Amino acid sequence: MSRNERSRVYLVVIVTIGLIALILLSSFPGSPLNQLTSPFSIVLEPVQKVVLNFANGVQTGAMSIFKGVQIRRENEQLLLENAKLRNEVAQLAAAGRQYDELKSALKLKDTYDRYEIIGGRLMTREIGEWFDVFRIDIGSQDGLKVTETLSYAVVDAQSRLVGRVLSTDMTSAKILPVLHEGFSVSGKLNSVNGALLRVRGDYDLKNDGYCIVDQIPMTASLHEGDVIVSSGLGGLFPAGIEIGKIIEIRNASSLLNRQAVLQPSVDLQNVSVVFVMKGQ
Amino acid sequence: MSNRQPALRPIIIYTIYIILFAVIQVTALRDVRILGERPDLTLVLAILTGYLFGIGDGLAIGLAVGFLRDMLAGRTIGLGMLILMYAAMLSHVLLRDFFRRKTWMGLIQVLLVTVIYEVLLMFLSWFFPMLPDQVPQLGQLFAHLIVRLPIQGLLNVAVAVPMIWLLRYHGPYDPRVLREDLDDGSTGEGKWRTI
Repeated sequence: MSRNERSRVYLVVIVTIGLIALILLSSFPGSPLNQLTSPFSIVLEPVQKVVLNFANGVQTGAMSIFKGVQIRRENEQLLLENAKLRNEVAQLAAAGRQYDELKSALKLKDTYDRYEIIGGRLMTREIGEWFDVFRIDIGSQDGLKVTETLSYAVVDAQSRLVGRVLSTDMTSAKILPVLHEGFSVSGKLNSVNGALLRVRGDYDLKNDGYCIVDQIPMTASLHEGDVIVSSGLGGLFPAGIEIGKIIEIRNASSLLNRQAVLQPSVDLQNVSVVFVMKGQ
Repeated sequence: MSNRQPALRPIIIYTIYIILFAVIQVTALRDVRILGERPDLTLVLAILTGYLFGIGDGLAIGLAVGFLRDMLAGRTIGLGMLILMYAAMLSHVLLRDFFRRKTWMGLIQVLLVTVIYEVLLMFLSWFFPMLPDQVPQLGQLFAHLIVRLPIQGLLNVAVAVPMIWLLRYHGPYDPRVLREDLDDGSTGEGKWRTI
């Protein structure tokens, strides 16, 4: 082996050891090593936004050409729906005023009052296996700080669960989506004294856009169509966030090993703006 | 012909390609799925760089695109760098005498390294499950891989065609210098640049 080749082997070994150390250290929640990406995020973000806007523009342009007729029909329908919604908004505004009055009168505790809601734009999605988290354009400079015991729930505009914050750098944060096999949340049936259960991502189901529900109590009565919300246990996710609905019950005959397939309420393929719920 | 290559050209071209392919991967390609799979531009770039321009370039480009991959969608920092660095190195050494570094043999190399890369990720998923009580079964992971791999491999080969053309004729090194070696099937990274 020549001297040149030997020095190359040494270089590769040293780089490999360094990278393994980097992987291990950056895998701890809240690791400062995640900040290594900050300067690159700052530089790359404008480029990414330009390309993203361009891609969206091309996609929208192509859609408007091919779907012109359909859009016209939809427009007519939307105008009709808009009129109905305006009416509903007026009614809801009145109901909201009544709710505020009741709330102050009865001193009801509003859980979400404890949370600051920070909006962010989805910048990137998964690339493939092991490179499968989302990235949004808010980070530690917006007050997000992930540690071993602290993370944040991420929801869409309709307060449906999208995932949780995995790590942050200065200008961006990575989101572990609800479908990911590493995601897990304590849920409950959306009813009075609804049974507690666990919702988690599943390797087999994630490509179909579904999650698995397990740890279902033997006494729980579970049906297709039941809506599951976050239970609030564990302190990470506020109680009452809609996760999804049951579409299939597995091992229904055995109460011990019952599982269910859940369709998340959020449309992860089309979500572009998300909201991070930051506890105060 | 002069064997001196401008030092700045590779840096500029590589920087442009790395950023371009990484950004396209996570923006323009994010909604493009063919039978559930998407071409992996950054992986193909690392493989082709290692194959066409040698271990030094492959190592550097593998690390750079791996870092971007980690930054954009990785669960941790470093894994993408490590894997893509080895992918580039592997494509440099794998079957080098048999392929003799012929340009279009790069397509076969892309296919081969994609298979190795996907198998490696399968074993990583098995060794390091994210939820400790939910260890996926190897058979289950393998079944997924068998379904995904042919499509992923073909998509990567498909994007490798224009990428080879870009790297070969609008790449980091003057194509007039490269042509001599590529046409006679010479191997050896240094030889390409110094003849």
